[in-house]
Amino acid sequence: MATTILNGGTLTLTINAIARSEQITSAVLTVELTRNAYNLIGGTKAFKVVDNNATLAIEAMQDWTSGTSDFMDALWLASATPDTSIPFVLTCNSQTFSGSIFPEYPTVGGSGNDALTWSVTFQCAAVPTKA
Amino acid sequence: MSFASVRTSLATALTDNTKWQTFAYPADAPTSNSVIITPGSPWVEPLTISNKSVRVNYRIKVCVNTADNQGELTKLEDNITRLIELMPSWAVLKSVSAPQELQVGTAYLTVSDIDVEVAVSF
Repeated sequence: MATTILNGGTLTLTINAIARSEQITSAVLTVELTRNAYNLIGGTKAFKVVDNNATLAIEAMQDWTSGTSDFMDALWLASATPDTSIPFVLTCNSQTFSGSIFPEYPTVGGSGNDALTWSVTFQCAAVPTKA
Repeated sequence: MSFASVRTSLATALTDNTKWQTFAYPADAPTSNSVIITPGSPWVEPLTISNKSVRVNYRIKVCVNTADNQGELTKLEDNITRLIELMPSWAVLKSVSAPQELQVGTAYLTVSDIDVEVAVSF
């Protein structure tokens, strides 16, 4: 089967139902499994997954404006209730990954000779579902 | 927003008719005391996922007459200082090159390049 080469142009990300692809320069969804290994008598091994953890890492432009509709303001406001998760949908070449993340305060500022960016790794509430 | 509108907006923002003539495009024959907006290299780079935004690079040529070293350097410094003051907040100043001599016909100009980048969303 031929390989489909994908790049970041195939990614879109909505957070709290608002498209944020114009601000986000990188988006990576990672699911890690905690798999225990048990050495059995007789020389064989058994494996058991006992936990999992999903994170959504993004890099984004800082688009601070006076309104509350920009990404930075929305995250800052959402972070006032940090234990309340907000939904996200990441699509990659029409494949959809849906879940919830806990908000984080965005950082403010940066170097004088570059566009202002920031990066964060959001904790997912659970392993996202793929449609 | 189109590339052309960004380029002309940059030229408008950097206009100071008391100090130089501003060209929003590569001038056929650069003149002394002129500021010329030209594409940088790379011209356009992808910036965000979904390719909704791109980074557009520009090279602004600051031209002064080649006369005496002290005079032309002072003029160049004055013009670059003023250009930095006029630089709009949406344009990121990257660097200013050392002056170089440019021959135009039989005349000589002393030219510095100012590299700036602008994020453009579609």
